[in-house]
Amino acid sequence: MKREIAKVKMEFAKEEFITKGKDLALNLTANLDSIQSELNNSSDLIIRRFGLGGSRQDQGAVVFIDGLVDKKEVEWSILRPLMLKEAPISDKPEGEDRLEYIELSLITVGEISREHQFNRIIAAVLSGKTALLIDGSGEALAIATPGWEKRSVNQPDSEVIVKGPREGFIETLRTNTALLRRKLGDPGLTLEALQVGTRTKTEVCIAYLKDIADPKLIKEIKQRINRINTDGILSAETVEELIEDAPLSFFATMGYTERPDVVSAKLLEGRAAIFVDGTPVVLTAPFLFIENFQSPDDYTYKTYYGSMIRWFRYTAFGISILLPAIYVALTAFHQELLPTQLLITMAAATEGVPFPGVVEVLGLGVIFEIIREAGIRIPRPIGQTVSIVGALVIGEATVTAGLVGAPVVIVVALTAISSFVTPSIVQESKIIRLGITILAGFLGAFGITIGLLAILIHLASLRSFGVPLLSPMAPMHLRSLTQDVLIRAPWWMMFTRPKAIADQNRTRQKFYSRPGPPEEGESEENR
Amino acid sequence: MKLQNRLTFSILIIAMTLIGSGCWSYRELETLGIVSGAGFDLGKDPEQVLLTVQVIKASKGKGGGNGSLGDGQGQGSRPQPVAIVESNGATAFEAVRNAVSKFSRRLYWPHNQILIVGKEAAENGVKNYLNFGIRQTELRPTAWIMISPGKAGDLIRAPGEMGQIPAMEIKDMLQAQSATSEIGSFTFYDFIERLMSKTTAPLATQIRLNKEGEVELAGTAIFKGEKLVGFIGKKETRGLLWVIGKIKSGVVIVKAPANKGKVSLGIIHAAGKIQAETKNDSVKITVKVNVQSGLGEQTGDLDTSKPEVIKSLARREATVIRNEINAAFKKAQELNADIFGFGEAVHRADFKAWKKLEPRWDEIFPKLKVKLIVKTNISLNGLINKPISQK
Repeated sequence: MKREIAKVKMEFAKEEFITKGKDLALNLTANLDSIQSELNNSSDLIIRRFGLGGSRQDQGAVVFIDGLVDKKEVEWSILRPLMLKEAPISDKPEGEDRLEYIELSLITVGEISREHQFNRIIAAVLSGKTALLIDGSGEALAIATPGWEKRSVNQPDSEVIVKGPREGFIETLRTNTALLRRKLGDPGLTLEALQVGTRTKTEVCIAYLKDIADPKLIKEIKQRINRINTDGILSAETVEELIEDAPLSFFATMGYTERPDVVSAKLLEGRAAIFVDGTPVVLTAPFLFIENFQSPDDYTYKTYYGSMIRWFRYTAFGISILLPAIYVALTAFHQELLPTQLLITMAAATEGVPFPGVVEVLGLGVIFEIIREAGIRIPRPIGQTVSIVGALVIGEATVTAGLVGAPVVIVVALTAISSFVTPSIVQESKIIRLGITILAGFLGAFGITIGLLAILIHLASLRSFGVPLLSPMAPMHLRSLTQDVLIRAPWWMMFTRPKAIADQNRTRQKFYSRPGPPEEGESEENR
Repeated sequence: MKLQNRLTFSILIIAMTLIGSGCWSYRELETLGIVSGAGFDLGKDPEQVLLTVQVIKASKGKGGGNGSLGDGQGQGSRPQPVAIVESNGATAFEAVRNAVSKFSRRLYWPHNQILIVGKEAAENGVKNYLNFGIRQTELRPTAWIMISPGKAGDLIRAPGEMGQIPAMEIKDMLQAQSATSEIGSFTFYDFIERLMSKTTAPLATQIRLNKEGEVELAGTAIFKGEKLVGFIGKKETRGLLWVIGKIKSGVVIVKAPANKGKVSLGIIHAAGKIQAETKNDSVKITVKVNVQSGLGEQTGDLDTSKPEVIKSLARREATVIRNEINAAFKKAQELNADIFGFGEAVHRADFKAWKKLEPRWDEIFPKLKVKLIVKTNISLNGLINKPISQK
């Protein structure tokens, strides 16, 4: 049934393609009329007819969309050379020869292509190119004169780091790939463009390093992207959801970043990046679970602090998923595990609170989420009010009024703060936390164990483009573990790429190339 | 469709197992009466058990969310931080359960700090009270066991000096005793372990109310089997602790030679060792005590910078220690209770002979001769070498 629908759809798409794939007419006016009607007389469509080489008759026309092109460029590089009397265009025979002469000798724009299909001209115009049509020619020139408004390259708000580069991707694909190209001078850096979204016609670009990335991986990514059959791609998330390995899992199996340095580092480890036009977010695949805990700052700090801070991040993740559950389990099931003094303090704080511990923790957790969500959605000037109302009034007043015990507020607040330490897994940790807290409310520590085991089993079953998500922990690979998981090894010790990702080209550098004074018999120059 | 059914089914099963079996041992903090100390006495009818427990009253101070003890209505008239519950029963377990009829909360035992048994009850045999404690999972074997010469209930009722939970104060007091090592501290577990041996006498701390009505730790209670046979004082207790190697710290006071005041020696390290030898049914016990101490203070003007002076002080220290051990030994032989565990030492040394000796141990022990070797060494002089005196 489904297969038949897909078949029909595909045939329909083919038919559409054929009707639009008609060739240009030889008559200029007819062509311009067709373009105009095809674009429904849109107000931003500009058609400028002119005479070639000082001629009075209009034999040519440029077509472009206002706002997408750089008008100065159109004036100076296209209209001027064509309209000036000096240009001996009239000498050339009408038709394709004349167009070829214009392309080769007159137009001073770098990127140019000849098109004869009608729909390709339309697509070129809509993507910010200027189309040049002349009378008597069945071909037209698509000249790249991009000039739309774009944001400048800034530090991304979502991934702020202390040391290291301050640039981040923007919404324009070409700028993004240029940022990457600036980082990776290797000729092996390959950018392959695909177009997805039947209506948005979004350009999607796969970037990888040719001799490092697994060819099978690239083939797989291309296949999956080509399989996308939707009308609109507006964000990287859409692409991710349409091509990821485990669409029903709440764990991400693709990484994302807004930083060129992060993308470069991932490409160097043998991953591929997927750029989506119109969004500053770049997807990377394959994705390992451990990447959730790696921050670009780990590599800019010294190795000792970098390793330590990573362990703090693991701890914070543990707190963010387990603390409320442990609190519930301890206060409702295993009071004997608490030190006596702590038990007395907790008992005193929860004395007279009308709700059971689980309800308190879950309720306050929900309130916190509401406040957080309000803080994000609300216009910025009012944001402060929300945080004051949220933090002071609700936090303080609920305790004073005796609705919630003070330890619960501490637990919820600490959990919330801890979850922000690992921003890329914050969504997952919220779901896990909710589930485990409920289980702990039913079964105590036993419930926590069940919950954690279930999550572990699920995680172990996940793969990202053929790579186990838990690699290099499971399947275990010691060298990768000691280089970038248990510790952040110094750069001279990171001599291999992760086995799970770049198995066919693993050597990064000479083994153990620790800096030091020249050895005996070794001259400075040879080093 | 089939898949959907299976999914619904599995979700139902998971939910039912969770909800059906869940919350089984769920108990909110405020439903628990946290027991901090318990006392066992004979009831009016000697067949009955009278249980007195101290339950922690955790309540919130008004106006503040911080957990504190008491109501905080003025510092002067601080209310008791604990509630006292008394209950009767034919057995200890029944007495614990009967407490419900007088108290709103379920007694919760894991945080119990001390277990006091009254003298009369202890003389009757403690098994009646302790079996419940070791069989039930809630009671911890790390609680400290104590014997009162009077009623245990009076001690449980006695208020603390610092306005804290009285049982906690007693526990802290007991743990601080290592400063003098004159009071032995024995956990429930230690007690049961000794009780299970046929010859070794179980020990417990002696606790009592003194004339001013204050709680005081007084020495050690000695059992013969499950029955209390007597008490020994502080000096004898230390003599006992030297031998069983439980001295952690303490002060030995020694008279200086030539009447030059007194010298206090602080114990740095002490080790006791019992060696047993058997020969034709005769038992020879050697007790070796090795003590390292430092010079803590002196009252006279003895010149302590000379090595021979230090040596003579060490010799005097050994004599003091030997006297303490002998006192304890004498008392033990009087009571015919093997508090040192000599029997176990013989067992370890020669288990074949022990089989014959064990039934007669009650006859052997009072006549036992013990060779005592006390080695002392004074190694630290402190910050000054010579006494403070005018030149």
